Amino acid sequence: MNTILLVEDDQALNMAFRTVLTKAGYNVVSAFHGLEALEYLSDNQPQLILLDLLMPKLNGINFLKRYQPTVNHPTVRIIVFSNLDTEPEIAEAMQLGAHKYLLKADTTPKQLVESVKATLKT
Amino acid sequence: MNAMNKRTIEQERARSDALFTSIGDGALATDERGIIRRANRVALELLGHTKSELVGSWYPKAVVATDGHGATIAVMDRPITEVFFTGKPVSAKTFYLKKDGTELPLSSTVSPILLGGKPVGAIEVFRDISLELAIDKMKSEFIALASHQLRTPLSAISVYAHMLQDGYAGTLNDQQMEYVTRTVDATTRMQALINALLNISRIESGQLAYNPKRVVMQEVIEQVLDESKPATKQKKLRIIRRLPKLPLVIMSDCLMVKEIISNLVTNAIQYTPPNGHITISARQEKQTVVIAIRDTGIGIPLDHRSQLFSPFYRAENALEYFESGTGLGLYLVKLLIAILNGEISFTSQEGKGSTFFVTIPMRQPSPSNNYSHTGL
Repeated sequence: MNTILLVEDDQALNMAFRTVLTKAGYNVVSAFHGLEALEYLSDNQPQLILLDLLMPKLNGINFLKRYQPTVNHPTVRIIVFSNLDTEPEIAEAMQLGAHKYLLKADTTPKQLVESVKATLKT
Repeated sequence: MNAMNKRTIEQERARSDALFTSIGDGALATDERGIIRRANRVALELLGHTKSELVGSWYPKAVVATDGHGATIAVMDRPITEVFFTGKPVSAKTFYLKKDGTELPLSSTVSPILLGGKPVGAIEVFRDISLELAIDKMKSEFIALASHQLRTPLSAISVYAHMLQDGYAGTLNDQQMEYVTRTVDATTRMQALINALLNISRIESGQLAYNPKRVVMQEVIEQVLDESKPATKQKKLRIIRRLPKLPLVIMSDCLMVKEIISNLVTNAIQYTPPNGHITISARQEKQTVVIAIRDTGIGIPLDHRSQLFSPFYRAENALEYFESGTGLGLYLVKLLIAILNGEISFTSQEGKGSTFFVTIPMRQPSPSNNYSHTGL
């Protein structure tokens, strides 16, 4: 079973995405900010990370800078899943190792599952 | 030359010096070889140079233009060169290297000094735009943050409504399903409104970067039609393509072109009753490409046509037929077409349908007449 690390600070959204992805057959681990995600990643390697950008304590960009996915876990797929749609941040996230960007507000649960499935295949 | 003539010439020179010195912005004047002949106080203050360091020096060497990241802009690419070649004024936003090594963002206009129709030099007037850039940055950050904050609760409403609709909490009865569907539709509408407002505020504040690249029109049109498939399928609309066989290639901003076509196709779908037709064509006409989107929809009443591209404006029959429109789609299209130096027009017959024509230049060096090295 593929494991997804869901990094999302909004409680309601974290719960919703966890439910959707669990029902789709994934093992979902929730983190509510970048530091919590880093802590999990120090001992574990999921197949995919669903990453919010604006979060307290450690935001998505700084998380990627510290995590250095291409060095530490080069096989992990990362989807930036945020309501922030500014080009410089998205470009920076991609440069730091993210594979895909989805605008949260425009993505239905079905589309999320499809994107996760497709990204895991790449 | 008699004494009186000499005095008159000296007085004229003094007057012209005073005029030049009292310009409130930085001002530099060169001769026909590009040697700086005059520099006013504001120019010296802004650049951090003394008069003797500038006057008598070759302009491109004494006043170094950069791209904002430390790289020098070549002489051939500087407005003054264009002015000498064309004899026409050029406005630019660029950076100048100050004596202390820092880069100063500024807005400048270089104009030729013409004597008997021949350029005998150039005059540049420039002003510091650091504060304007700082305000623009703040505005842009505010827009990004405000839209993020609006989208977050909306995402929660939308995702839970979709989950109910998809049966995550069990099977809904007909009435429950109807209410949830209405919630989903309202969140979709709200999202479209936020996206449109965000796009418009980005365009209006000049934050939407124009990135010209090779655009194959057939590919963009197919992408838009592909994304519209669920809606066209639902209404059983027939899509007719009239596209050239050979790739129709233009140099333009792909995302903007796509957004324009997407908005027009979405409108055609929304305002065409089920089983209707939508015809999309593209052809080259001289140095432009003309895209036409024809529908068999409700049409636009005569008395509503003049205001069709105004923000939040919706024709009466449109309001009755499709209440969820934002009234921002055509306004956004108009703004984007202006950036691409294109044109839009339409013909319509109420109850029969409309055709929108978009004309986009096949090539354009910059999005408008605003010369810019840096995309400031």
